[in-house]
Amino acid sequence: MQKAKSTFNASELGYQPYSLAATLFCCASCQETLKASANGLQCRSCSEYWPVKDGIPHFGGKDHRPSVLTDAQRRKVVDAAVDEGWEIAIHDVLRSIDRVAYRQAIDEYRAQWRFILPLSSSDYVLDLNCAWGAVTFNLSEICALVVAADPCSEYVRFVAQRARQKGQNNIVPLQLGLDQSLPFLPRRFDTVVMVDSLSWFPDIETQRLILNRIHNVIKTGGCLFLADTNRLSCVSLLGRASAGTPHTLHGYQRLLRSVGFRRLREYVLAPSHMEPFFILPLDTSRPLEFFLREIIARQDFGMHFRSGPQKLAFRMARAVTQRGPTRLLARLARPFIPSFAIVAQA
Amino acid sequence: MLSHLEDYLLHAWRQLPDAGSAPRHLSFLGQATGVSKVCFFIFADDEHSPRYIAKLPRSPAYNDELMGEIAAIERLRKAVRDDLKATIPGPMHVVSLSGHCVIIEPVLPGQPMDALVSVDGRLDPSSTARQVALAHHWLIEIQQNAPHRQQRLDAATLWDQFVEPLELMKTNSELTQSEEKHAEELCSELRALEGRELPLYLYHGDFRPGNILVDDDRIAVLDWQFSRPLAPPLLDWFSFVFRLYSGSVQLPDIDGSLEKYRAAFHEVFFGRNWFSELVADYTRAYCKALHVEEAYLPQLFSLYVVNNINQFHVFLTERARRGYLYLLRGAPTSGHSWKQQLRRQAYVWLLGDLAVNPTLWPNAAH
Repeated sequence: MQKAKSTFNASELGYQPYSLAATLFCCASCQETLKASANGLQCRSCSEYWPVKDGIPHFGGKDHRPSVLTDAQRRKVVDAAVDEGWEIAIHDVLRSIDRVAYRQAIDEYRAQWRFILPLSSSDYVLDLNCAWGAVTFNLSEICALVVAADPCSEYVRFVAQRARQKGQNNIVPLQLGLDQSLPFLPRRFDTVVMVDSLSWFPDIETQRLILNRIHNVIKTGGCLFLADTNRLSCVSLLGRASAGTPHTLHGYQRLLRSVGFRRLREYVLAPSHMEPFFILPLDTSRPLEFFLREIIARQDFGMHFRSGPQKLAFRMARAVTQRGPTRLLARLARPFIPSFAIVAQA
Repeated sequence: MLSHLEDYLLHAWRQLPDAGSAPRHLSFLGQATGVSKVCFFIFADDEHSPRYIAKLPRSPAYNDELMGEIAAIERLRKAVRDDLKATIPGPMHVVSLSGHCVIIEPVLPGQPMDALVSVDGRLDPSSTARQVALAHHWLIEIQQNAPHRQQRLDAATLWDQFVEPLELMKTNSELTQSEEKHAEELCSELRALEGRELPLYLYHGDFRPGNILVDDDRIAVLDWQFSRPLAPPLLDWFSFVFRLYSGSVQLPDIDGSLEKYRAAFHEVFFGRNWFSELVADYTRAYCKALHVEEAYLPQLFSLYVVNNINQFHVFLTERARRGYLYLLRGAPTSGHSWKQQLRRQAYVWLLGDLAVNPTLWPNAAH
């Protein structure tokens, strides 16, 4: 089914990044070439049609993540970005609505795991469920192109606005849910990143289907960066905000291997995959032992931890690491680590 | 990125400072709690502890900043005694990988000082006295040993080091009438320093307990990105004691509440308590050791506040372009736009407190 020539007339979308991305897209249904019609994109073969709104192709799909913001609140932020600029939208409007959402919307700390990826300046990256684009913008500084996809149209409108206002022309925002077929030609991306997304899907078969689609769009030798919650973490055991199917480390590994990923490298992101202040490999025990012995037990990096919602967990961890043998603790802690990241080669 | 770094290190291992035989395998522990840097501890084979640390800019946009820090440390390493060299990062191995400047240096021993002084949200008097003494001693030693300037202030130096920061503060801040009046008075007092003997010393720029590693009775000082070869004396010292106290009461550097900053400011510099007495004693000892006339303490103290206003303004303005913005809480301006709020962060209010109460000078000045 692969059609290497597949393209559409990007200039008709009136947005420069799409000319870069034109060689990436194809019909999500039959993988044939696309053409730009009056207000959208249409498959030249099966005539399926996807609208383009505000210069952003909409490929459909539902959002499975829980949202702390209402649709109206998100629209308010995007409207402010259009009318008054992205900085006011983020620092004034979103900040006043929800501080946690604000922090996660913009904080470049969120993409610190990028150092474990073999990224280069010629790479094409697909950021799935990009939300407000915190990771997208960070990756766009070091890669040739980042396709920022999210099922929420307000999120991608915001990403588009911020990119345009900053004159950043290597970001391609798309409205696209993970429950949809991917409208990309096979093996076009060097890296796909998917953070806090897979576990929100309710069943393992859907998760497998999503991973299979992702596997198809990654170049041979390219990789998927998957960061998600551990099923055995306190957060999961105490019940998350909504349903979903997080896995153990072995569960994620099995799932990835079942669709053809290989050479998996596993990491801990602490305190969580949404705040990856610490990044530890799991293929060797020394870094985790050092982390428990010298950082958790002896550093006071954590005013954030001492006073925030994680106060109790941090205190317990500290008390245990100050008293226990860290080699044993590292072994015991491994299954209950809050979040994992896996770099899986296609 | 780390795979490139591992390949590079395995190949260039012998070029690293104090490198033994080349390992077969490396692993990395990332700590990304700094403002513009990410640090990776480097573990060789199955070694218990990391031997080196690699520092990278959070983004290539920070390459210049990191290079500036390296240059400052290298300059300092060339200038100071060997025993002091051991208290600052290095020797450094610098390489460019995937568009990032990467510094590799030996891991400095010790535990961050902020973890050693606070017990349940309060400073512990005995451990605090010990840590304050260590920091005080180191600061005096390094400032005496590093290049410094001990002569009468000429007009150009006076402008660069004293008056210009004040002018910059006035431009970047929204001042009340009384604050403007206070700034004008301070400006006159600073201008009157021309021809007076007031030494200038090395300035670290972020001398806080979290950047100080303690290993028994030795310390090492990290994070030199805000350093300057010369600055008015006492800026680092005032900053250290205020942040030592603030950290102990869980008051963050920027986004705490105004009420708490005011209370902490009072407790550290103006109150009648064991800690402020300790600070006053050590401030006087500092003046004596570094030949700073105590008569200049009020001006130097105001200059410390002005310096922090400017430093945080630059930091927050830059940060707003890329990330989450820390802003003061609980101030009358808290509901204003972020741009307006940047013009009145904590230290502007603290300067305002000095303005309305001109007799409020640090204990050490009495």
